[in-house]
Amino acid sequence: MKCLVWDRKRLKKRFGEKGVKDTELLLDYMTRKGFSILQSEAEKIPEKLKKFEKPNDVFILLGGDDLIPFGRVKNPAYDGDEYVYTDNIYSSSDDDLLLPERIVARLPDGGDIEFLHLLIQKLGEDVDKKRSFGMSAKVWKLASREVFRVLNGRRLLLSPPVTYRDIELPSRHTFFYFNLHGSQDTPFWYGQEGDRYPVAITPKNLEEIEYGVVATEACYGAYIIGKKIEESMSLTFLERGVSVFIGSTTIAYGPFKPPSTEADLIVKLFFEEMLKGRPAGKAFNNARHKFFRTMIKTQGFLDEDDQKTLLQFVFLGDPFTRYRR
Amino acid sequence: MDRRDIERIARDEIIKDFPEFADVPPHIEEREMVVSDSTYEKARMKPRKPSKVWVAVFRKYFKTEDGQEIEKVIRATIDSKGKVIKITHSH
Repeated sequence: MKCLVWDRKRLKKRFGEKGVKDTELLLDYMTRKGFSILQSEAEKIPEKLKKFEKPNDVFILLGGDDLIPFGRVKNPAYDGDEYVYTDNIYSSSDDDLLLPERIVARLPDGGDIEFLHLLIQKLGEDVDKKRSFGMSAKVWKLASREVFRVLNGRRLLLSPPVTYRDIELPSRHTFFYFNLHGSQDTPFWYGQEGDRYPVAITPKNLEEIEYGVVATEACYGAYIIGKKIEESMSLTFLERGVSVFIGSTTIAYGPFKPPSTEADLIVKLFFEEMLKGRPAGKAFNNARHKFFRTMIKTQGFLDEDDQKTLLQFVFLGDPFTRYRR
Repeated sequence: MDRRDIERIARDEIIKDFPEFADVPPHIEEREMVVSDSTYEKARMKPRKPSKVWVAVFRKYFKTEDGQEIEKVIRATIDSKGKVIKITHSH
């Protein structure tokens, strides 16, 4: 079953009666395309999913944090985040949130109901022709090459020297990989060499993008709380036509050289699963389970940054998108 | 191993690659890393005993070229014998 999940009351508060009516019309249309609809107060969604679900169901949350709030989990790592914002409260079948079993995706709204409706209408688009774009902070080039290798990427752009002033993004590449710094206060992502942190890419650089699957390791790469479309790289990517965006809601971690761990590992495993032809939502879930097994086998335990990684990475966009050779 | 040994080990390891953290005092804790049985069950793995490790965290703020302040965090995870298991940093 593929199920669209929404909260009418919260949607009315944010977008008014017209927003609700237009959404209901669209959801009627989606039921004719084979989707089920679950309307519920957001706070009751985790409980309702338990009653509603069957194996291999896919749930799609409609809206950002104002419509269906992220879970707020106490940050296990000692850094500047008080909480980790997570969708694991919806994707876990119990209170143990670390390793969810359900496939849950989120279609954000970015304060624009038409944007949300566009994302709903686009559900089910596939990607083909494996062409890959990669960009990394120069300081992490060794670690990033280890991830980008999975995509057989030809050239990993490094920042510096590349910055938002001279970067050229391809319009119809399939996979986009970024390993840059991010911030919750600005939509920009940053490169690094020593003490130099240039602006590597901004939402304005995405004008040529039409399509694809994006995974980023940037801190706050998927932090969308209170953000309008143009204030967020993730929302702008989706608005430009990208089907899938994987990223972190908070400060993310990674190594500066191989082997891949934390954000590097989860992104690498996600790309591997996509290349096997799995639907993106399933690929993301498999990547989390493989992440857990890999870290337990190689390290014997999960430390706080591993735990944080499993909580903070969220899936924005279309869980049905598949890479077709 | 005590806190001072851990600080020395972590600092030696981190300063090699991140000299800009030489003046940063780390936050050091000994932690028991516990994973619940239900998580192991979801992963279809046999539960393992919790591990005790030391974690040294170095935090410092940097300015980007457009004037934003970003926090950079470097973590060293060290076992009870003083072996560095991994070094990670914030993105």
